[in-house]
Amino acid sequence: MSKNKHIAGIIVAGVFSVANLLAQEDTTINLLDMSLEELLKINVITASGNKQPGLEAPATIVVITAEEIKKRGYTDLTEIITDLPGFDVVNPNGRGGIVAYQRGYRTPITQRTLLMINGIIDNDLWAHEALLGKHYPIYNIERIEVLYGPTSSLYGPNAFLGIINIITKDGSSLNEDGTKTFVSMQGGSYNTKSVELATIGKKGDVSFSLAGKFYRSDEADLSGKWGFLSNKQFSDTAVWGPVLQHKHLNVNYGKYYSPADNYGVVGHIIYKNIKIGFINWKNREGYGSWYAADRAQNNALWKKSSFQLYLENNTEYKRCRFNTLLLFRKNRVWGDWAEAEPDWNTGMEQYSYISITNWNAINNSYLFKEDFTCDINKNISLQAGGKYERKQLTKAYDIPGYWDAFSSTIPTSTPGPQGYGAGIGHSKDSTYDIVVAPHPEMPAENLLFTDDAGTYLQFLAKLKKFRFNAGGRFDYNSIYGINTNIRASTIYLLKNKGAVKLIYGEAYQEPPPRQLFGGWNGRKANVNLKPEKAQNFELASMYSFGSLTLTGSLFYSMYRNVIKEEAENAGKRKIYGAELKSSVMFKNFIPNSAKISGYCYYSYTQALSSIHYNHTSGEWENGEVVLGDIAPHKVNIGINLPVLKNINLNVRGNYVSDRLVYSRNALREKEYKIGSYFTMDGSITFNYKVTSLVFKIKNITNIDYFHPGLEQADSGDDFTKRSLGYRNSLLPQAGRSFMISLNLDL
Amino acid sequence: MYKGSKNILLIIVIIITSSFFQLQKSEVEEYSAKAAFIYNFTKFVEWEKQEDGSSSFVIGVVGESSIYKPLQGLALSKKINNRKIEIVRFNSAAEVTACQILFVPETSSSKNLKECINSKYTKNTLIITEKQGCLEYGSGINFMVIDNRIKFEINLGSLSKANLKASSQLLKLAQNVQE
Repeated sequence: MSKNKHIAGIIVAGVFSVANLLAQEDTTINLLDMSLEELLKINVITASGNKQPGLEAPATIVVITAEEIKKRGYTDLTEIITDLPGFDVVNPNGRGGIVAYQRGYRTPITQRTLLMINGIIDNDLWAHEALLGKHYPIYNIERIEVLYGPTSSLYGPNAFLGIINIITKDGSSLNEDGTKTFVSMQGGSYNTKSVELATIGKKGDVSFSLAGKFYRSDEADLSGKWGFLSNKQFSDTAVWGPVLQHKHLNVNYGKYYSPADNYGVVGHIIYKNIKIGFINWKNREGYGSWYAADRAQNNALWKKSSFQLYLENNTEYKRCRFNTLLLFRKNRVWGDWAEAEPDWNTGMEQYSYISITNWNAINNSYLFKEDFTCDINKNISLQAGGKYERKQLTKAYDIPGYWDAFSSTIPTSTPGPQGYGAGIGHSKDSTYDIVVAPHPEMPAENLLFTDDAGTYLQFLAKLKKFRFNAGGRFDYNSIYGINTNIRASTIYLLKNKGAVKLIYGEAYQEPPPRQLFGGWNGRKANVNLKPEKAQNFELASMYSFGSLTLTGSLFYSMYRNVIKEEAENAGKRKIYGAELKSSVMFKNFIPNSAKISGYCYYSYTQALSSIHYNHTSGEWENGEVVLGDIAPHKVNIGINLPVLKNINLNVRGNYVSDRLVYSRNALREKEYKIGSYFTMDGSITFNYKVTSLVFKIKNITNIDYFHPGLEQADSGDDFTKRSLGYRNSLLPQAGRSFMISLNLDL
Repeated sequence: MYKGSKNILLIIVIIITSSFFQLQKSEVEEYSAKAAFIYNFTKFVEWEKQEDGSSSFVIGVVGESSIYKPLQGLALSKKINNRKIEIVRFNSAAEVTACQILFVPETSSSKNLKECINSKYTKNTLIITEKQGCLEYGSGINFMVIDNRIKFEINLGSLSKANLKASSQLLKLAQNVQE
């Protein structure tokens, strides 16, 4: 069955559901006959803005609601993250999704922010990557809570910079037995097609939530925007030789082509206290602009998947609430890689050692977790818990034929045509034979088992207008040992209109197994890596003036044992900054129209590193410098204008100031600054009964702009020669694009 | 490539669940719910005995508000303490006359709210608001919306000042009770 037929099938299912539902009789809710207890449980469509999330939370939090997702015309998670304060977002237009540096902490990929779905961590087991991609369904989201600052004292390892917790809707929120379904069909620029279905339901003590998304796109062609992405370089016969005789996805190598083909399904069913849930997604994307065209063809799919199955039990006993979690998860990272390593022999630099290889890493774990909260009295509550997790991890990538990498199928000692591995050829060869793929199961000699255990305790106390929180956590890992983290906060409530918070938090980041054991010739592993440590001091405040809400925070963070891309603990970082957030609602100047709403976030970030890269010696050296890639000033702004009852206009803008590139970036040698830019996105929604039509434009003004390169960002910008390294120093961004969505809200 | 069997399974699950469960309306308008809350409050709050001879239970609304229509629906279908319900709209605080409940919407200014509270006609009136901080100004009950659900908070001092008695059950259900 072709993919189009799959999508058609889903649409048919949606239409069938619609017809089925519409055939049933609507139930009138007689609110006046409900008791107060019942009324307190019903969900309402709000018109007022008098809610302030996170007022008493011992952290700085930003909440994005389902209503905001709908109004702003978001179609995937990457757009939501891009509009958040305190994030420097890099979009490589491939290889999984965006890379987001929270609060100025640059990392090779998004590793130091925990991504959760209903509290279940979805960062992968091997690289700890939070894959902020287009595979997650978003129309089942009740809200997204974005927490800023380290919180290992509660959440354990890797709650290092913050947490993005996606909370999905559940059928129990329905006022009566029944279902509610949302269907979205999307199409737009770059041959993009997507369909998403989200349904919740309830009958008696049973409730459920199920959402699925299928996304397919050719994505933007950026070949004309950066020399090391040009089709001339992708098709250079001296560089690529017989690789150009091969094809991938029925498209010949030798040109910019970086498609995406993703899906994600998330669901759960609840019976009384018991919940069974799952998360299942697969992300398959070309490499986009990540790598230089004289080093890697982007027309090869890099794939990541996550499967999680869990059982949760929530019980209450007297003043205590218990939550028990049993979870199995499996992550896989694999894919194709077409490479041209420059020939290092004198006079041969324009030629390459070439390879087309298939990579594989499989990881899984079993987790048991118990948490409980007890109200000791009206003013004091205690929260405690513990976990045990057994992980089965791949040590090194399984890459048959690739230099001296581990191989499950071909003996690593096989010399191949050039003597460097069975899959290593030369661009002067007339032909190239692709070697066999890895075995689907990981051989035992390339596996490693680890044990993680952790326990925590924290108190929350109320004393008139003060709220106090203090706690600590102890974690043990069978590889890198013991870690303890604490946090404490004091909150002063201002007449229910706001609060002032003083927060101290600590966290640690585990060295990812990929960097501990998973090295290959291009990235060496280091089994002696120590966990990174974070400490954060923060002063935050929230205040409401009628329908205007202002939130501000000042933070100072210190980081030790920073793990850089070369798998070494090297140096410290200091990051300080401020975030100001405002949201407002005011009367619409258009009669018979709902209120106008808007938001404006300003983020200031200064990130300093105790070490810097010496581009002459090619070594890291001591000496404090600006880390780079982090824009000191960022502004996110948006306005929502309802027009009468059926039309909604939304315009959003993001300003990013100019910024020095990362210390390791090849362009840093000349103190290169990426220019500032202001992008605008907009959407217009037409609603008619259960149907809505959304027309969305991204990059309305069609500006040309760049994001900084990822990892070492070492390609340089001399396009007349071979690149200096694999990763592009700058990543061009897509121009104006369009998307139309047809939604059914049933 | 993803496998067709997974998609087919998803389609089947959606169709079966949609068939199994009945259609229902999942969310209600905020002000319909608030009107129902107000009706319920009257079961848990005691007013002084009526001495003005009026046979109606009067609910006043200051200015424009979407609650007016649901309250009119309430007046048509229910009685309070065996008395007819009368809904009265006041354009401003200056126009307020005697009523048992006065709803001051979020669009009203703090000044307007203060005038309502200090009015000679609201000495035995339950003043209900829907904006953060209104409890401090002297409203008796203030609505809040948290996670799309309506909650309420109570100012016991204001109730006492207006010679109103709230039952312990009502206080138990309140999100916040100020002494």
